[in-house]
Amino acid sequence: MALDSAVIRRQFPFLQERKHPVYLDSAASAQKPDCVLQAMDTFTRTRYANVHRGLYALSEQATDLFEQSRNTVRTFLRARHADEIVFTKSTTEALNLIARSWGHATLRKGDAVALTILEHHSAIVPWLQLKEEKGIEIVWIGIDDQGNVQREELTRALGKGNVRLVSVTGLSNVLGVRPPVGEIAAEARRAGALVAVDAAQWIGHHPISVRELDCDFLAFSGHKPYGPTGIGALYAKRELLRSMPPFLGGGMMIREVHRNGFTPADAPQKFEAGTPPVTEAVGLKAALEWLEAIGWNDIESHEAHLMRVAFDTLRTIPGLRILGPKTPDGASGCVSFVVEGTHPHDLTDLLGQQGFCLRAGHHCAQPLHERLGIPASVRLSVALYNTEEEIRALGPAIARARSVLSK
Amino acid sequence: MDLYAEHILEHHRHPRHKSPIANRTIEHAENNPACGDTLALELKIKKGKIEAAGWNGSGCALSQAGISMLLEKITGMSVSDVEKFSPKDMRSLLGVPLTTRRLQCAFLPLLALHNALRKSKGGQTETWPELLDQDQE
Ligand SMILES: Cc1ncc(COP(=O)(O)O)c(C=O)c1O
Repeated sequence: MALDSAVIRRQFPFLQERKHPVYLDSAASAQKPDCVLQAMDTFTRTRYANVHRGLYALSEQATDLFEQSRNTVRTFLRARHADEIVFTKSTTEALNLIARSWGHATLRKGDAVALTILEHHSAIVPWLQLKEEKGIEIVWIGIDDQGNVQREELTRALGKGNVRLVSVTGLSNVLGVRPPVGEIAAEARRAGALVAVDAAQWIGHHPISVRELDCDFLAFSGHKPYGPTGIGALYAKRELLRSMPPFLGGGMMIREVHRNGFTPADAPQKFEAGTPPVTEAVGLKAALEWLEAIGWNDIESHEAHLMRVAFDTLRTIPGLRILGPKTPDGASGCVSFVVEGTHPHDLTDLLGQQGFCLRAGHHCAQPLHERLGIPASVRLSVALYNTEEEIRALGPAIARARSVLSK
Repeated sequence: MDLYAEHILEHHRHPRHKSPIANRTIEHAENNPACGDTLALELKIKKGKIEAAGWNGSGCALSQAGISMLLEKITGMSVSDVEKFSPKDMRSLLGVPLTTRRLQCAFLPLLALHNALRKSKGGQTETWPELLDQDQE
């Protein structure tokens, strides 16, 4: 394995703390490397100004940095144009933007949006809101027991002719499965539907090319690929952004405002009302450059190894059931499980007491948990800074937690 | 003392009142937004007294032990006394230290109880923030 995890770990201040826990919750949010923290710190201390406003040099430099960050996102996603990248607060805001702007303007009663049962609440609720408001229909696409999207259900749904958009996650934040987004996009396109991809998890684990996928929308957050919170992005095809009405009204999103009306600015500014997260854009740029510099081959092989170790470790625990994929090559980034007779809350509380950070709950994917027939699960997620030893140590820790509950 | 104290684990393993009751006069369910666990409560109120109480649901040791202990405590009490049962009382009933991350597990039984009683009087139900506010007082 080419990736030297000691070198990676040294770059994370969190891991230099004398007593740091074993962090296995990067799917919720990743720790930040020095280069991200330093880029934000230097900008805030010495280069700070608002963007797109002042005519003085400092503001111009800040604007340049902000636009360079947009361009870094463009390159990272392999998008054609920088103006196809809209900065948002998060994946959640980006997905809401699709529903509130495109959905609100174009969908009519009787139109349908298809969602896979794997989706995160942020890809579900905005459409349920439109269902309440406009009477659109939500069509659910199921999965098999290993978490694979039931393609024939999608085909059937698209056959009805009223599906206008398919929203699909690029990587499930619970099961770690990766739906074949490219194939789904192609099929949707043939049926005249748009495709929105939730790349919140995907972004930090595997390369993305929106050009290859030919998807219409793709959303992600900065804080999962080792960047800061408070920033995310929406990729959308240029023609789409041109046709979509603004999402929030305010400063920067207008061309002109008069007492009785306004004309919006061009995209992406049209969708970026108010002072944007400038410092966070600087941090995001540093994070994405850091990832690209490590290289996807090394990232993928390190994390695939960690997933094999995770499956090996979890499988030895009696009464533990892994959800979804049967083998580690079917899962990426995270694996979720339940332990017979042990509620996920109790297990993760007791693991926390032993210095292991894992998440318990429905992970903002309640329809998926309903499909799995359980109220909650425990999730182990991996990142570049995790090691085989950290994951192996979890086995005995789970056994100790169980013995507390059953003593 | 730690959260997983012997009395909590004992109630968790052998929950009291965990069955439906006959001639119930109110039913009410609440859930824990942090994990989606639900707790369904049934009460039989007669002449201003809690004559019987039962519950159902799945959840963590803390919420399960909590409802078990709470129903044991309130059965036979007058409604007006039970209405006054506060987060502070719940804390002392549980008798273990609570951290922020487990407050909703600890207070889920109390929210279900408060709202069952409010519902029986046709009143508005209490929200999580309202309940947690009382804990600050
Ligand atoms: C698959 C998926 N979609 C969307 C989100 C929402 O991301 P955020 O909370 O950063 O908006 C998350 C993260 O929680 C996620 O894992």
